[in-house]
Amino acid sequence: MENESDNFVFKAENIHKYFSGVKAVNGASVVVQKGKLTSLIGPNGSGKSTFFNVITGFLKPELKSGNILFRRFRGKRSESYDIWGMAPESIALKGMVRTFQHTRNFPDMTVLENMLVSPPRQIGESLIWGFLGSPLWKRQEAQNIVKALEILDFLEIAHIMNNLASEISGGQQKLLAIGRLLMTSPSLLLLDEPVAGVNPTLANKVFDKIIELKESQGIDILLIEHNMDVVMSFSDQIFVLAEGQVIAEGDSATIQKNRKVLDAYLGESPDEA
Amino acid sequence: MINEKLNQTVEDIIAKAEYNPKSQTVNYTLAIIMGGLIFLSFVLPLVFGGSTNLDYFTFTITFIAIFAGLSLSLNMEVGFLGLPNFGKIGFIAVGAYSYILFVNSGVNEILSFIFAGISAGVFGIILTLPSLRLKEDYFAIVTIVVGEIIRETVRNQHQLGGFEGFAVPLPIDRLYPSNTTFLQNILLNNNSISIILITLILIFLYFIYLNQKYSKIYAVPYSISEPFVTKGGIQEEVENGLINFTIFLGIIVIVLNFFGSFGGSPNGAIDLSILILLILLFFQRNYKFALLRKYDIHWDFLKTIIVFMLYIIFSYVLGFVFPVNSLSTTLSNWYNMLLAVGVLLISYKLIEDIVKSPFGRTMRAFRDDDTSAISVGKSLLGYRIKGLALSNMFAGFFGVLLAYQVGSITPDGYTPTTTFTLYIMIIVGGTANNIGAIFGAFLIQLLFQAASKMGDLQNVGGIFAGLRFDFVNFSLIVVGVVLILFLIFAPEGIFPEQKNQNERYLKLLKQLSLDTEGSKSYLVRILSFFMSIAGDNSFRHQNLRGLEFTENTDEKSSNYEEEMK
Repeated sequence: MENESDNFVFKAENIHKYFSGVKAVNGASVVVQKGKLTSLIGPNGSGKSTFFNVITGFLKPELKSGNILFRRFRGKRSESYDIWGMAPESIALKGMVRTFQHTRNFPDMTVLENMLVSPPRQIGESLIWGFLGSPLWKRQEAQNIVKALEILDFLEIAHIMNNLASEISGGQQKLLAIGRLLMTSPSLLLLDEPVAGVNPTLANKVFDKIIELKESQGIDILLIEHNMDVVMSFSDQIFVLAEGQVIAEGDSATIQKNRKVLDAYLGESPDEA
Repeated sequence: MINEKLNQTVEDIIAKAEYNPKSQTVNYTLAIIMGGLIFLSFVLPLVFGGSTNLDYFTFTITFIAIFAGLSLSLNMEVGFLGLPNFGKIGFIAVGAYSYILFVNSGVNEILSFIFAGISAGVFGIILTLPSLRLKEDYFAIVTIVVGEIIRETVRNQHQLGGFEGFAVPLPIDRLYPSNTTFLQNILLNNNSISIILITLILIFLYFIYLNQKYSKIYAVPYSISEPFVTKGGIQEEVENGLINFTIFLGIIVIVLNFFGSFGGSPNGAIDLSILILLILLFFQRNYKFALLRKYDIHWDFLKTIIVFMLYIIFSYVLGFVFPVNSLSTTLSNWYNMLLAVGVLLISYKLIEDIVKSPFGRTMRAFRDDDTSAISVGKSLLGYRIKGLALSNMFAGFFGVLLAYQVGSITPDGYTPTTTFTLYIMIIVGGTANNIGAIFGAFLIQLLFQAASKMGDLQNVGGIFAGLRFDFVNFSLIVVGVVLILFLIFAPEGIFPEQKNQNERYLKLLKQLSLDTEGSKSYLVRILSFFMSIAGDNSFRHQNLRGLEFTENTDEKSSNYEEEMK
């Protein structure tokens, strides 16, 4: 009934980002459809992370070159936001949150406390209520603790909740980063290499969790990943970036056959030249 | 309503993790060795020097309290907000100068005191705006420059006092005719009895109110006799409320007395008693007296009465012990001490509450990794502004107290050396730990005061007769050595940061799991009504409820819950 363009949760069109002449992102367009796990792949230096930084507001895009839309579904209603040029924290509050390629947790806090930083609009975060209204925020705090504990349990890292974030292993750090995002009640997760540097067994487990989130919670996911095994087996839609441009898009079967993609990864084949 | 199944799952999850209290160590040995040694050097001149006078004590305690307050303020920036402010002295100067300028233009002294804090806070905001994007090290450079700019500007501005500065009159000095003796002022008069009675009645009423309120929230049966009997877990909340209330009340009385608001008859006895009470409650709040807890009687209220009775005896004794001559300086010092300790206690309480609230947690998150905190929707600008405004407000207040103590405000009193002294205090005491900041101030300030008094030992003769060097400079050497030793062997200070605070969270969970839906306090209900008008619905669903990762659809989350079971 609905055609595809009506069903997007995220749409970035014609994004440009130059670093003093180097065209890091040069007119890339990416669409994430509701309920489809979308991946962004490409060789090193193809502009994937820059693209992420631009759409989440951490880098300013080149002026007037395109638009970025984000849509949040609440039940059957949906709200669209034009997030072009917005501050990163406002974009996060809208429900579109991201992880970083190098995992960034708060090292001097426990795993549980890491989770508790995330919930948006906490009463106790106001300076006045912070010291005057402790009966007010303590309830919300308890509610957040319960939520944090259950998310940690879901991610199977509840047993390390009393450890400092600097003490836990790399794979657990990655899971914690996802857990911190889940505490914000997001509707779209942008994951920048969620299983980089993680062993294959754990990588599969992380992806199982991601799929479970998508299926059971209706959270949409856009991810960057170098691990082709997991990308090809789990993605519904794949965008291939090379030299700042989208050179191919489609499901994994289409991408695997695409000549341009092979060229981008392995260098141009001699017979084509 | 609490879902018992949910509670069970939460408890199962908690049981999975083992709690390792090892990460919360305090270097008590180090604290005792350092504190003991330095205290010895403080007392030594008194024992052998023969010059026992009250001024030495009051002077030292005042300086300790003022510097403890300043290092609390600096600790909030460096330890919790992660911004190394090397221009702290500039903010102290802003507080002191705005106080004296307000007073000279005819503003009431209490109001000027408050305005001084606000001006320093606003100055913190002004500094934040241009330096928002700076990393920590560049922020440090900017602040050190700002501190110097303020000093040089003031020195060269005729309107701001110029090189000579201002004299700072103590409000208390106006109230004492020259022929009043210390003894006369320290004793009881009619005024003080009525104030004590009012204080006791207010504390008692507030106690009853709190008991009722918490009985309502936690659905615990309430009776009027409860103020005297401890009833398990909820009592702690009530106690904390009581202690906070008493501290506030006491400090208000001290401040009003200082500014002579009780018809020109300030009374040392009241202030002394309230100070003892405050310190007792302060320690009760932070270090529970295990001995008193053994009995089921609620000691806080009784303690209040006992302290008020003890002070009468104490004040008589004090009046006889200390000599009657040279009284006016003794009294000024005495009141300065009371004011400084009072303001220190209230600042400690406020800062500690802020640090333990979600606001403080997000502050620490920005210190650890600002990009990551932004990526979950926290505003860097907002937190820097609020944090710097708050911490520098306290710097402003203590700047005024410092000016009271020194007696004058001159540009040369605000050299960067003070900032570095404050840094030594928080490094030795422990960064990101409020108790540590106070303890560091205590140690270093005691060392300085003791050193300046060491010269008296030369008069004793004997082995001390050979000590013929400048003890003030000697104390700088000692402090330098102490700093280096700490940086090598105990870089986290005597009281390291308590990084693992999970105990607090789990305790909170246990406390509030007694909660039932129908028993929200009226305050929460009224607030939730107004907040919902303003469009913020965060108050509405305040009960511990089932898991919803996202707000997307109800069907999906309920599916998920089934799956979890």
